[in-house]
Amino acid sequence: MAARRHLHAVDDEHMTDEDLLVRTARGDTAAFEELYDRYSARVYGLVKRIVRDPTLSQDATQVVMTELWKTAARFDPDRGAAASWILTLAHRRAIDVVRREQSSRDRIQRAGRTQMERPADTIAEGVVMEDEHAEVRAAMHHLTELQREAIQMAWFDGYTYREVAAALDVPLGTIKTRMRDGMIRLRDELGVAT
Amino acid sequence: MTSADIHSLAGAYALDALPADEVDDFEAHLAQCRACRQEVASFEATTVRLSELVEESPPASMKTDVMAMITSVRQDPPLAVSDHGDADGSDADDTVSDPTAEAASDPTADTTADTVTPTTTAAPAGAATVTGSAPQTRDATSRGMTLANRLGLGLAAALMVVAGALGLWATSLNGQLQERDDRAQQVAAVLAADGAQTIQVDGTTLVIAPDQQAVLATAGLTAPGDDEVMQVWVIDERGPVSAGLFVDPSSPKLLDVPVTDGATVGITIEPAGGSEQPTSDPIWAAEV
Repeated sequence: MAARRHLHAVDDEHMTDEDLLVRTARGDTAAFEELYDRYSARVYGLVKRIVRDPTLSQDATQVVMTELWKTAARFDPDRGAAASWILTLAHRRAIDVVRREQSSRDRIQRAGRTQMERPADTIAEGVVMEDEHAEVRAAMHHLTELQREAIQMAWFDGYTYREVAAALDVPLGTIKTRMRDGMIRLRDELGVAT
Repeated sequence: MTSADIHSLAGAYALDALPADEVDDFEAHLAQCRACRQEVASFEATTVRLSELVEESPPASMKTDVMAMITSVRQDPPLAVSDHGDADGSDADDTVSDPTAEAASDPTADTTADTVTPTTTAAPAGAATVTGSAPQTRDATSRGMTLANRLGLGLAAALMVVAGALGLWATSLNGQLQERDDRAQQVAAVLAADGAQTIQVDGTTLVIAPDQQAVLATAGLTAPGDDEVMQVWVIDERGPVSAGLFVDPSSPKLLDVPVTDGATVGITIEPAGGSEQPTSDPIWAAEV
């Protein structure tokens, strides 16, 4: 199996993300380019949502994409989806940028302010109003308010569960279980298969 | 921590919301708990869907930059485990779906002198210390480069990371480097210099190379009005000397004068065009 080769550049656009990542690991720049096309908007959108500053977000996105190229061999298709792998990398790098920018204390204070300024369902109401996202927004509405806030602050603002607990003034154990219960609900609403 | 407690962390883990000190414990648990692995995988697939909500295309120029950058980034060799099929039960000591865990602990990953070829199986991380001649991160290396090494990136990417660490302008630096812009090269030389000293105060960073050339980069400072400008000063026993105007805070400032040991670097707000001598208290200062 190891020695078998696909014909090069057959039609990258019909390959799965996992195939593309595996081929990227072998130095296939065409496969990497296709991955870039598929993921750059999701990576940049997520990074920018967390980092906020456009210039810093572009820097971080380039680092994520370069790191994707460099570390593609570490992706194991048996262990999970390429999309999760890529977006987790993006999320971590975005948080690295934020953590360099400000102390944790500032962030918690800001989190408190953000929560007051911003209705909890900004995301659910639709940062992007396209119909294709209606299902995800609808699923967000099936969460309790605390579940939704906890998930939004963790994934879209990049807070740890401890920071979320502090900002919302809720016990740590409560936030942990709300995050998990909320994710179970979202997963089931969205019919995410694994 | 009881077993029930640790199961409840699956949501926070998949949301990347565990503090660093709890990630290791949870990953150790994951390696042994199939139920949690499945749950985390399903949650991660859910966060992928969530991320659709904030999709936004980056500037088109980024693709050109990235495709150019990767030509100078050496890829990690394949992992030895990839041909073992998907038989379960062999996963007790695997790292679990963490794209960064190994890059962070493998010092050979980014050395161009590394002799592992892409067709061999990956060396265990511990083997890196056996190769005595492998380039090591030297004590004198600047903090930014150490960060880049930790991330396991090549030189071009390392410069990007240094730029990111300064909170600024990686995109513009990359563009300028491609144009062989003298000034950008000088900036890059300062940032990459062995033994460069990095001083960070309130999110603004000063990097001083051993030849006393210095670069200042700010994440938050701006001049308050149109008729005002930030001016940089190097202050030693002879008093303040202008190191130039800091007109565009979104780009790094190569100081016009060398920064000597024991000097103070400060920024003041001055009338447009700058002043001979500072006319106000500094809005930022750092002692070297």
